[in-house]
Amino acid sequence: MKKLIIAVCVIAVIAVIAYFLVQYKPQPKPVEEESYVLDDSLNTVLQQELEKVSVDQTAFNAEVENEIVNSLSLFYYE
Amino acid sequence: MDNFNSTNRQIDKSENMKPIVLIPIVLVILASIAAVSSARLERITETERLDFANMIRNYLNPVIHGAGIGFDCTGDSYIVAKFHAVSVKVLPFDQITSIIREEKQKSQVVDWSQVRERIRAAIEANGTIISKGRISINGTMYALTNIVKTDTNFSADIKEMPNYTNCKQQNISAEQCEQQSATVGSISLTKGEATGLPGTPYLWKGTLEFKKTYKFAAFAYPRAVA
Repeated sequence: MKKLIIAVCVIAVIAVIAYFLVQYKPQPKPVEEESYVLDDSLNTVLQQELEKVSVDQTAFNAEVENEIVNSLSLFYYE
Repeated sequence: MDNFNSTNRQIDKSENMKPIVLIPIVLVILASIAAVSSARLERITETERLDFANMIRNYLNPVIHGAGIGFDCTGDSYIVAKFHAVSVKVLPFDQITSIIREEKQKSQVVDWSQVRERIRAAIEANGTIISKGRISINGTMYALTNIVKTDTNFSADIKEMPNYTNCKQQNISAEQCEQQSATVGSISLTKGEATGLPGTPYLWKGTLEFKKTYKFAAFAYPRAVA
């Protein structure tokens, strides 16, 4: 009888340890691992989108500068 | 009866004389107007307007420009904005008006190119550098005023676009015109990390106040625009 109780206890302890081992998941290192997510094709798309933004920004800047010089120059003549 | 007819004839004669007397008077007035106007500046042409704009453009330098997105605290709504600020060397408004007034009073005929050259010399000698900027929020343009830009910080007030033409007609300077315009928000950014992207923009983060508070992040460039 004693042996049976000891065996049940040992099994219970093993089960508890096994449960905690299954639950444990190591945390990923975000910075290094996420950088691998951007493969070459995605990088190309990103680069193209950034170039569009750059062109759009330059056009916007030109529009702003024209508007500023035109409105300021109004005050230099009658 | 004869006396009556004679009186009537005299009245008719004096009435016929009136236009003849008026002709020399009108001629004298026209001659005076012509003499005065010949000493005045001629009406400015479109090309001359552009020459004035190009003169200002020579004194303009980019300060910061960028584009970004902001989210409100709940993350339920976002805002998209592009901004561009420049520094420009200008002449105080009273000096500009004084130069134009002096040129008008000259006896000989003067043109706008002479005025422009005098203003250019005055800008070189006494011009002050000020900052001007614009921000486009969700596609609508606003003016940036009270711009403060350091190596690590950028802040400005956001105002409705001023009506410069109206201000000019009311003899109000461009700066007063902007100050009178309604404030609709503000922007405050701090320079963050380098992005490693072409043109070496940096990530600038901060707050955009526009009807509500947005956490705002932008790629911004300190470079000159080609």
